[in-house]
Amino acid sequence: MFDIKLSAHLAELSKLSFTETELYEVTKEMNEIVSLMDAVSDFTATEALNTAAAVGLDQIRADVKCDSTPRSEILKNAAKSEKNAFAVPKVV
Amino acid sequence: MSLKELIKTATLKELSNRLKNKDFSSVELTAAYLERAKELNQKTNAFITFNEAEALKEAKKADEQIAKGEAQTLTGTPIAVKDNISTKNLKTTCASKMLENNTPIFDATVVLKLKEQSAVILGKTNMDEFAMGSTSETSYFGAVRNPYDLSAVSGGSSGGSAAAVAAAQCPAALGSDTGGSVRQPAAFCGITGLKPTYSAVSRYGLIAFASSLDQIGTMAKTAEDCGILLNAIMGKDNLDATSAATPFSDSLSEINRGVKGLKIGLPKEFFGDAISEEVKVAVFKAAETYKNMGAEIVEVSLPDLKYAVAAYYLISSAEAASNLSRFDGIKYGHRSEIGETYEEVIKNSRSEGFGKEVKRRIMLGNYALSSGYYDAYYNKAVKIRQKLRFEMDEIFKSCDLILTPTTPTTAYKLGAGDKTLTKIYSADICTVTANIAGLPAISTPCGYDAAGLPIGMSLVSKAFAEPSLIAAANAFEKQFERRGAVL
Amino acid sequence: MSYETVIGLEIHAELLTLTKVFCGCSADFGGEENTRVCPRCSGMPGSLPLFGRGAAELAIKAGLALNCKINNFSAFDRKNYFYPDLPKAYQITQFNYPICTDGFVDICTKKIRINRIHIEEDAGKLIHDDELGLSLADYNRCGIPLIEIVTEPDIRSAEEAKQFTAAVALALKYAGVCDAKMEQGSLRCDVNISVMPKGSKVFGTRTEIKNLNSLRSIGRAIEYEYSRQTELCERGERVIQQTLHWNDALGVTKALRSKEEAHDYRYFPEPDIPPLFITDEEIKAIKNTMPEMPKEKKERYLKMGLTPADADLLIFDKALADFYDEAVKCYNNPKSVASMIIVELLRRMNDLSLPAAELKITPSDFAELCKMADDGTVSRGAAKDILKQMLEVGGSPMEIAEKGGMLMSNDTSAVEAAADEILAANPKAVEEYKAGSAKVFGFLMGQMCRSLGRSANPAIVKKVLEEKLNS
Repeated sequence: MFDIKLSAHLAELSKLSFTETELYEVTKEMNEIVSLMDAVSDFTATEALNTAAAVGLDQIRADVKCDSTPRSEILKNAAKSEKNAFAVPKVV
Repeated sequence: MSLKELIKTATLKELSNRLKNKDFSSVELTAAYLERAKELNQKTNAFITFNEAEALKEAKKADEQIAKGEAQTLTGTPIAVKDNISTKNLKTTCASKMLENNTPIFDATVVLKLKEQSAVILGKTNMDEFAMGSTSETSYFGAVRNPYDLSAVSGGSSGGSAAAVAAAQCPAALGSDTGGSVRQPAAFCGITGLKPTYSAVSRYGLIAFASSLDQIGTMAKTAEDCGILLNAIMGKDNLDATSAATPFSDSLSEINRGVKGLKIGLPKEFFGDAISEEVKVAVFKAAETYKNMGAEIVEVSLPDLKYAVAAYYLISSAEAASNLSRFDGIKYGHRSEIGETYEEVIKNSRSEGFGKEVKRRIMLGNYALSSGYYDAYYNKAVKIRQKLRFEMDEIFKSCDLILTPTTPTTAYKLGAGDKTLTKIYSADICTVTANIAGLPAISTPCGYDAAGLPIGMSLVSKAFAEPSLIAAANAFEKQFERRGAVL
Repeated sequence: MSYETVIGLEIHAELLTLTKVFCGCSADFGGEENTRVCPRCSGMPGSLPLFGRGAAELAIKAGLALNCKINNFSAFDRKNYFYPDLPKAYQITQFNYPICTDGFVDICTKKIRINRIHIEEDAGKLIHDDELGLSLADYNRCGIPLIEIVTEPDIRSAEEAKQFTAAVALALKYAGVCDAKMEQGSLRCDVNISVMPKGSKVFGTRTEIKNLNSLRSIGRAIEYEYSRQTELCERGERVIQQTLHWNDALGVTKALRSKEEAHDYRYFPEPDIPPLFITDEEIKAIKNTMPEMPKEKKERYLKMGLTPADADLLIFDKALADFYDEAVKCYNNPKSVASMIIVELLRRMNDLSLPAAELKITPSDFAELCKMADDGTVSRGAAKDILKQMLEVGGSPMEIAEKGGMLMSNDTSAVEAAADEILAANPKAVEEYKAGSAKVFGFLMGQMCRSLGRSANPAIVKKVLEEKLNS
C-alpha cells in the first residue's frame, strides 16, 4: 500500500517538498498509478545477460585531450556564481 | 498561387524543389512562415520561442548558397524544433519553469546537422513539460491546441511540433519520442510522425527524459518529408556513445517500392476493448487498402503486450528520476529564493520549478528503484522489456511490418476532466512497444472520426528498416485523401 | 576477553589518463577553478558521457597487477545521491558488472583477497567561503577517473592493512596505473572495521572510516577504532554501523552524520554508455605491455644473490629499481652494483633530497664507476668522491677520475721511494713492528697513503711496505 509515509520517504529521495495537503493528494495519485504498475507482478521470466549492445575497446573514445569550455560559458546559466565558481548554500 | 497560399499545403519536398528553382527565396519563405506561425500561435500555442532575427539571417545565408548552386536538400527550408532539443544561444525550456531562462551553450547534434545543411530554425515548439505527457497540457507555457479542433488536445509530448505542422506554421518539425511522443500527437493532429530506430539519430543535446527510450523523430505532412528530414539528422555521432551508423544512406531509397509482396501483421492484442470502434474500423480499412496494393495481411500476436505500459512507465520514470536530479537550481535552471541551506534551496528550487506530472514521474521512478521495491518493479520491467523485444523479433521473422492503431481514441477535449491518470497512461498501449524494443515506427492518418478529428495508424518494422517503413506509409498516403485542418 | 579485528579496505586510486573518464577535459591535478570543465563533466542538460579507452586500459592493467580476473563483459551503473560536488546528482560507477574481479595480493604473512576492481568518476571540490557564507563548487575534479579496489575482509591488524595498502600502491605505480601519491590524494583508503571475540566466526557490526590519506593514519585510525569498539563490547554496548571520519590532529574517529541516514543509492544500469566487451586477445595484448611487477622483480633479485632487505630497498622505488636493472646490464656484477646504490647512492640522494626519477647520472656511467672501484682503477674512497661529483656537477667517472688525479698508479718505484722515506722518518715504529706489533702497520699504511695521495693502490702500497719491513 502506498501510504503517506512512503510518499514522504520518496519525496525526500526525490528532493521535493510537499505541503501536507499536497502530500495527501500525491499519495492518492501515486496509489492510482502504482495500481497500474502492479500489472507487472504476475510476469515471470528469467533475465539473461544482454551483451548485444556491448562495444569493443577500439570503439570508445581515445585518450586525447580536448579543449575545455570557457569558464564564462560553464557558469552562464547558473542563477548565482561567485569567485569563478557555482555558489552553493551552506551544506549542513 | 501566392506564397502565403502555397505554404498552407506545400510539402517540404515541394518547398525544397521550388527554392532550388528560385521560385521564391528562403528569406521570403521564412518571412511568410514566421508571419503565419506567429499569427496562428494565438490559436495553437504550438511555439514557445520564435527564432525570428536569426531565422532570417540563416535564410539569407541559404539564399546565397542557393544562388551559388551549393544548395542541399534542406537548404533554406524552415524547420521547427521541439523545445527539449538544445539550440545554442536560443532558449531551450523543456516547457518547464525550471528551464524558463535556459540558453544552451551548445547545439544538439541534430540542430548542428540542420545548420550544416543551412536549414532555417524557425523556432522552438511547445510540449509536455520535460516530454512527460500525452496531451501537451503540462507545459508551463500553456496547453497546445489541436488545429482540427481548438478545444481538443494536440496530443503529446511533441504536441507543439504536431500542431505546428498541421496548422502549416512550419513545413516540418523535429520531435522526440520516448513512448509515442512523436506518433501520438501526429495521429491526433492528422500528420505523419516517424520515430526512427533507437540509436539511428544522435541524442546529444536532447535534454533527456528516459535515455534508453528517447529518440528524436521527424514530423511532417507526408512520410516522404519525414524521410527527407531523417536523412539530414541520422547517423553515427561521436558525441553520443549509444548512436549507430544506419545501414542505409538514404531512407527514401525504397520510396516507390510500394507494398507488393510484403507481409503485414496485425497483432490481435492491439485491437482489444480499449480501442474505439472508429479507430479499429479505420485501421482495418487501411489493412484492406494494403491488401489491395498487393500486401499479404496476417494476424500475429504479441502475448505480453499487457505488461508493456507498466514496464514502459517504470523504466522511463526510473531513468527520468535520475536524469532530472541534476536540476537543483545551482548550476542552471530555476533557483528558489527561499531557504538557507543547500538542502532547503534545492528542494524549494525543484518543488517550484517542476510541474505536477514531472513530480509524479520522479516519485514513481524513485519508488521503482528504491530499496525494497527494485526487484518488484524496475527489475521486473527490465525483464519484460527483454521478453517484448524477443516477441517482436519473433514476429519480424515472419512479417515485414506490423500495422496497429496509433491511439485508442481520437483527440479528446482539453482539460481531460473525465480522464483518470491511469486512463491517460494506459492510452500509450499502442506506441510504447516500439520504444521498449528500440524499433522504428511511423504514424500516418488513415481516417477521421464523426467529429472530423484525425485517426492515425502505425506501422512498425524491424530495426533499421526505415526505407521499407517509409515506403509502406507513402504507398498508403498516395491512396488516402487527407483533409487539412481549417484555421 | 580478547578481541580480533576484521578489516576490509576500499582503495580509491586515480588513473594516470590524460583525459577525464567521460570527456576529453584534462585530468591533470589542480588548475584554476572551473577551467577544466565541459558540458559533459558538469552534467549540463543534453550532454552525454563518453567513456574513454585510457581508463579502460589502465583499469585492466590494475587488474593484471593485482592478480584479478579481467571480465570480458563490464557495464556502468548510476549511483544516485544529491551533493553539490556531484553535478549530475549521480555518480557513474560499475555496480553489477565490474571490470575486474577475484584478485589477491601477498603480504608478508598471508594472502589478502581482492573482491573486485571497478571504474568510477571522482566528484568536484567544495571550498567553504566564510566571507560569503557560501560554498564554492569547482568541477575541475569532476570526472577524474578512479578505480576502487575492494578487498575481502581478510585483514586482521593495522600492520596488515598498511602492508597491503603499500603493496597495492607499489603494484599500481609499477603498472603505470596510478602515481599513488597519498598526500595528494591520488590514492586514498576507506577502512571497514569490526571486532569479534578471538576465535569467533561471526563478524561484529562494522564501521567505515572514510578517506584516509597516509599509511600512518590508516594504522592509527584502525588502532583507535579497535580500542573504541572493544571498549564498547567490554561494556556490553553495541557498535553502531556508521560512517566515520578520522581526525588526524586529535587522533580520533568521529561520526560523519549525526543521525543515522540510511542511504538508498538506487543503482541502475547507465543507459547512456553501452557495456564494454573486452576480448581475450585485447587482454593478452595489454598483459604483454605490463612491466615486471615488484613480486617477480624481488624473486629475480634474490636469484641474483641480493639479500631480501637489499632487494626490497631497490624495489620500493621503481625508478631506482629500473636504474639498477640498467646498470647491471652494463656491468654484470649485481651484488656490487646493488651495494654501491644502497651504501653510497641512496645516502647521497638523501642528502640532496633527490628522487630516483630525477637522477642525472646514466646507469651506464654508474655501472662504469662500480667496475672501476671493483677492478682497482680507482680506490673505494675515490669512487665515493667521484660519485659525489657525478651527482653534483656531472661527468663520466673516468673523466672525473683523470681530472682529479684519482686513477690508481701501478708504478711501484714511487711507492718504494715513499716507503723508504717514511720508514726512515719513523724508526720507532719500525722497531715496534719488528718486535711483533701488528698495530703499528696500520699507522705506517696511513702515512704512506697520505704521502701518495689518491692514486695509490692500497694493495700495492701494502705489498711494498711489507716487503720493506720484512727485508
